[in-house]
Amino acid sequence: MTKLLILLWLCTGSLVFGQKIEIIHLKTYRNLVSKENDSLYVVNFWATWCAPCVKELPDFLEVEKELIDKKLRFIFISLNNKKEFNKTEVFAKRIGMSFPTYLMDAGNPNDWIDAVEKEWSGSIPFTVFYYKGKNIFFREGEWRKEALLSEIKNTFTKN
Amino acid sequence: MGDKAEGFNLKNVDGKMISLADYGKSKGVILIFTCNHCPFSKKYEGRILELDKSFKKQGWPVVAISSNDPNVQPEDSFENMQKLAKQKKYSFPYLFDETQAIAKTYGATKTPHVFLLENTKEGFMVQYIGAIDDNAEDAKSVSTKYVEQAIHEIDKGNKPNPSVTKAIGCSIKWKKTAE
Repeated sequence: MTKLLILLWLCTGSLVFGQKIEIIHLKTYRNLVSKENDSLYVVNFWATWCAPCVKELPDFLEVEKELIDKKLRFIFISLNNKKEFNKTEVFAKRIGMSFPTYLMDAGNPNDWIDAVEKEWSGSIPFTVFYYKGKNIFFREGEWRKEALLSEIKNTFTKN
Repeated sequence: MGDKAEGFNLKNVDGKMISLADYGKSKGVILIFTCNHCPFSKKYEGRILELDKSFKKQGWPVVAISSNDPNVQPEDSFENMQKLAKQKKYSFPYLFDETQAIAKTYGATKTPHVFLLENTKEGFMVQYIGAIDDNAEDAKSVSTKYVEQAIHEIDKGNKPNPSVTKAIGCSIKWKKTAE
């Protein structure tokens, strides 16, 4: 019985302290990015199968550290298939993902890609900035750290 | 949409050059930007073969193009394209857009990315841009086959509706520019 409890504790413990991800739909996405506070939300669409996405993740982690004093929040949205939920969670944990991470239940992408950004063709990586609930900037393509850092700094200067 | 499609002249996996002008006798061309490595391109390999099988005889052959830079993604080298085309018994040309000029001209951003080119008296016209169907994950769960639907509409003399659709895909691997 004690062994069972320890096992249970270990299992739940790893869930609490590891990077958890959550499956979301467009409605939840809208709630996540429509906050009317004065934080800048930087949302990145990625997937474990997308090489340039995986390559730029450490840059996002570094930028977060450098701008720790700013009102900046990163949100990561995986476009992995729902069947790859566990794989995505294990991956997020392995790379030390510190950002809130979600998995978009893609369904028919025509139902939500335009709602995120009409100009987005659907290729990833894709990054979109929200400020006071508004989409103020987006980029289809990968970042290098310096470019991301300067874009975010510019956004803070302008707003 | 409805714009004139730019011509191209690219090397096929069999070493021969293929140009859009070679399709002067067809009703149109199903132009698909795809590649070897992308998981979404892989999911659609079978469906692209099916499209060519069904529509080539109706005057709408498939022409596939890979524009990825093999220096960025070695799996998309010309040699690997040749291997894949042989292995999967591609019944359609699989062209290498080495300079990436054709992807840029068409505004292709990802793989797979479809452009339906209708052959008219004024030349080839772009009538549809987007996805093959509405379910990348599972061919059996598709509810709308966008490309097939669009071809049927064009053949009837109508404009496709929708004429633009979205899908998740891998970005085209552009050549690295010096910074």
